[in-house]
Amino acid sequence: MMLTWRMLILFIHVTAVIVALGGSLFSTFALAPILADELAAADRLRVSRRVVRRLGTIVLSALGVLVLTGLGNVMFMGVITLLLAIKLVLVAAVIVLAVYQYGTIGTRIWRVSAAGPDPSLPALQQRFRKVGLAVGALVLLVVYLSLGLTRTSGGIILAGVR
Amino acid sequence: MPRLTRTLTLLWILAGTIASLSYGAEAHIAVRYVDPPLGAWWDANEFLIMKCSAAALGMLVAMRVAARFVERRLRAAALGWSLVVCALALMPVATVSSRLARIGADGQGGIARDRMIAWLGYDGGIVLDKIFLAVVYFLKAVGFSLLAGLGIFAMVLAAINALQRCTAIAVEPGEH
Repeated sequence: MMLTWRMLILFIHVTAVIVALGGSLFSTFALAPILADELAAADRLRVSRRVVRRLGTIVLSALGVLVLTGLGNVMFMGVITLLLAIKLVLVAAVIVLAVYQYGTIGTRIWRVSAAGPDPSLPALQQRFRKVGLAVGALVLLVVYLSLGLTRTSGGIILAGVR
Repeated sequence: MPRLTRTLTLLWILAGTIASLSYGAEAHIAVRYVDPPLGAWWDANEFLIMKCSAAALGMLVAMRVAARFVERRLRAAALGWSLVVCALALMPVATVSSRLARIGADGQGGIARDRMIAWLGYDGGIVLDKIFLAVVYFLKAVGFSLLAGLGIFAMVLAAINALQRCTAIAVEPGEH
């Protein structure tokens, strides 16, 4: 049966990954370069500070949902392998890094840029981007490990879906 | 706020340690000798206290770690609201993390028990093994609750972020 608690939790879990990772990738590789090309410095700053803020809300919420549904998934899987343990540690690191990215750097960018361009902004934005890339890379690694988990426990998952 | 969370952490460590050791060693029997009603109550509730302590401890550690990565001005609000949400989520998190902590028992557990029996003799080894199992279970529940606490903290920070953005935009109409 397609509509089970397990499927619903898995669906929300995967959607949260897509939102968290997709949002960050879009902002870093699509929005930021286009803003740099198309807008003047003052306008770019006004737009990007709001993007940082809004993206923070979306990514942090998605990561929260990701963890809570992830725990539900582990409950349904019924096994804890070494791979899963590594994945859980990485997830904890991702959340701490994302909290640093949006809770410290993002907040500083928002505050510093309130009065317009500031000399400390480029460094902050650079750090924001670096931490964002680290978060994205770790999330990709977590996704890769998840594939390993799905492959090794495929029988259990199929049995649950049926 | 940091002092409150530190105090709460210490209290839950104490409660968790007492409950885990008592559950492992079946100390409620000793309590029954001294005070039968109290012993009966302790027997009925020590596991609940153990799993709630593990959940609370895990979430508190998560909050305290994550709060260190939040800017100082936001820290108190983030910690305070996370504390409220985690308190509300305590029972569900305790239930889920205690169920998760049961997963993963395998044949390796027998090796530990055999070594303890070889070291302390049968009676002592069995008691030590039960305490060991209770402590491992407690630590696993703390680990899963820690993850849940990090998730809750991230969501609370997101909510604070959104609310502050709305406030800031309301104050700065030019931002629309």
